[in-house]
Amino acid sequence: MVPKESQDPSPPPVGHSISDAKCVPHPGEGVVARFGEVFLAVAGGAEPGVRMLIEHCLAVAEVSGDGRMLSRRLAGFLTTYDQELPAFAAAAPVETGIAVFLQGDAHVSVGSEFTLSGASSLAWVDRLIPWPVPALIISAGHSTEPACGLFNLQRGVVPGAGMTLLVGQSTEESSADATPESTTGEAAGMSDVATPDAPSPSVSNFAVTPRSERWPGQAVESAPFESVVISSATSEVDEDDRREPLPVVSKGAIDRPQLQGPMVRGVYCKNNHFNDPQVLFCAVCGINMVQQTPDLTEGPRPPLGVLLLDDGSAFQLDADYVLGREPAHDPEVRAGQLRGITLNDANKSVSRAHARIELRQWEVTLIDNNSANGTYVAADNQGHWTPLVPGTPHTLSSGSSIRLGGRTLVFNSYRGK
Amino acid sequence: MESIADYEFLRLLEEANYGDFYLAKTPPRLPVTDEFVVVKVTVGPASDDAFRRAIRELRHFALVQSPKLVTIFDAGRQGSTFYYAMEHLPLGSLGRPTRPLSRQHILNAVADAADAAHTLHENGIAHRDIKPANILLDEGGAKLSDLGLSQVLSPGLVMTGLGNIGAEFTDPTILMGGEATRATDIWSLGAVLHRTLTGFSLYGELPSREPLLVVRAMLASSPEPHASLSAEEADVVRACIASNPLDRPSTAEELAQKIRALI
Repeated sequence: MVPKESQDPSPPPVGHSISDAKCVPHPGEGVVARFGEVFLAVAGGAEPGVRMLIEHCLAVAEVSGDGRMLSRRLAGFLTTYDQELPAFAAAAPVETGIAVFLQGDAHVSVGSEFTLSGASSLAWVDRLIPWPVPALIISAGHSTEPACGLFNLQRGVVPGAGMTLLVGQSTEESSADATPESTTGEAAGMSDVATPDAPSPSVSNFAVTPRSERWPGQAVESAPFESVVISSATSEVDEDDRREPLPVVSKGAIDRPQLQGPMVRGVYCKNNHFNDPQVLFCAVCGINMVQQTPDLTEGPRPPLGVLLLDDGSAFQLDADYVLGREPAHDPEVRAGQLRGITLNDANKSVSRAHARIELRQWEVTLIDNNSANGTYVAADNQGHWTPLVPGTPHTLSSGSSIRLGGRTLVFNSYRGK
Repeated sequence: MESIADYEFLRLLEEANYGDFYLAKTPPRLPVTDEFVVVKVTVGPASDDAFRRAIRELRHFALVQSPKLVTIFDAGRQGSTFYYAMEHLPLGSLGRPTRPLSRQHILNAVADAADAAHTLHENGIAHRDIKPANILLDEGGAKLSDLGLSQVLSPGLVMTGLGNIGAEFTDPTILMGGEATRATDIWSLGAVLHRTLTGFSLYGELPSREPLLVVRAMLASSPEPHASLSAEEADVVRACIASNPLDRPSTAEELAQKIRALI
C-alpha cells in the first residue's frame, strides 16, 4: 500500500529532492532497484550477496530513506560480508544532497561534468553530491545508454545495468500536483536536464560531512559563534548551585526520590517507590503490593514507560509528546510546552503533527490528530492493525505497536515489567 | 567538517552517540597548555533553551573536582550547532584502545570510571551514558568522559537511534522509562566490565540488526555473564545487573572496591 501524499505537502525546490525523480533503467546484465528515494544498481544477480544488498536498501527505505544511514549500513555490510560481491552503486538523499556509495567498477555521473568510480578504491567510495542535482546516472554494468524515455521505474527490482535519474522531471501525477513555485522560470530552466552547461556540483568528502550540516543554515565557516569557558577555575557557578547527592538505595531506609512529575494519586511500596494503585507488584523493586494496606496518597508521578522508535531511539514518557514529520508545526511544541518527536519516512506519509501522546493519571493515551493517512495500533505483535478515530484518546497497553505512515513505534510500560 | 568556532579540526576521532568527536588544535583563547583538545559537535540544532540547559549541565560537571573525570574547557554554539571542547587523552578509549590492554589495566580503568561516577553521584549528577567509548585510558587507569547530554539537548530522549551504540550498556530500567540513578550507572559499569573482559555483550548474540527488534529482544531476555568469566568476576557483574537495585552495590565507590579486589 503506497500512502497518499499527506495533507500538507511542502515540496522542496526542483533539483533538491529525488522522491519524484523519473528513474529510467538501462538495459543490460545486472539488477536495478528503487525503493522510494533509495536507488541501487548491481553488476550481477546470481550471487547470494545481491539479495542481501537489495534487502539492506529496502530496510533503509522503510526506516528513513536517509543517505547517511544507507552508507553506514552498506559499509557495515561490506565489512562483515566475506564472500565475493559484484560491483554496485547505491544512492539516497540527505538534507544537503545525494549520498552515493560505490563498490568496485561502478560509476555515478552528474550531468556530463564528472564521474565517480569505485574501481580504483580497495574498499568502497562514498561521497555527497550537493543539491541541486539535475540528473544522475548510476551504472554498475557496461551499458550507460538510457533506454527510450517511455520507461520509469517507480518501485521494485528489475533487470538492468544501471539507471538515469531525471530529478527535475517528475512523473505525470506529481507534476500535476506541483505547486505554483515549481513552474517559475528558474525551476523550469533547472529541469532542462539535457543542458550540458548546467552548473556542475562540487563533490565534498561524504565521510567527514558532519551530521549537523544536514540542518540548513548553520555551521558556516567563519560564522560568528558564542562560547562559554567551562573549566572549573573560571566557572561562574555559585557554591550554592551545587546539587544534593543522588539518593543511595540501601535496604531498610530509602529516601523518597525527588521526582518532578505532576501530582497524582497512588501508593508507596514498602521501599518508598510511588506506584499506580492498581498494580500488584512495585514497578521499581518488584515487591508484592497486595499485602500492604492500600494507602492512597498524592505523589509525583514517575515516568510511565518509554516509546521505542524503529530507528532504535527511545523517549521517556514523563511528559506529553507530539509525533509527526514537523512537530514544531504544533503551536504548543513551538512554545516549548509540549515535546516533539520527529518522524519521517520516504513517502512523506507522516503528517506534520500526526498524533499526540497524552499521559492521563497512570495511563498513556494516543490521539490521532486528523492525520492524512491515519494512526494505527496493534495491541500485540500479530499485526492486527486498528485505525484510531481522529481526536479520540486510545489507552495504550504495554507492548502495543503504533503505526504512523511508514514508521513503527512500540510502547513499553514501566509497570509492565 | 573542517572547523567549528575557532577550533581547527585535525581529524575525525569517532562518530558517537549524539555527535561526532574531532581532534583539534587548542585555540590561544583557552587558558590551557594542552596542544590538542577533543571537540564534540552534537547532532541536530540546539535551541536557546537546550543551549542554556547544556551549558548549565556542563558547568555542574566541571564543578565536580576529580582527577578521574575528563576536564571540559569550553562550550559554545555556532549558528545553532552545539559543541564542547575537552581534554585529549592519546591512548584511546576502553572501546578502542591504541594498544592491547592487560587484564589489570582493564580492571583499573573500569574501577577508575566507577570512582569518577561516584564523585558525580555525590554531586547530584547521573552520568547516563557510561560505555567503553567514554572511558578514556591513561597510564595504568582511565578517566570518565562525555556526560550523556542527549536528554538535556532533547528532553525525553533516553537513547539515540544511531546504530544502537549504547543500548547494550543501558540499564533496561531506562529502556522502560525509569529515571537515571546511581543504580542505573552501576548497571552500565557492570556491562562495561563484562564487555571489556569477555568481548561479548551481556545479551549474547542478538537476533537481528533492526534496532527496534534488538531493543525488544534485550527487554525480553535476561542478561547473563559469559561462561569465560571467573566465578569472582561473574559475581561482580551479576551484582551490578541485578534487576532489583537493592541487590546491586549501593554506590559506585563500593563497586570500584569490588573491581580492584579482582586484580
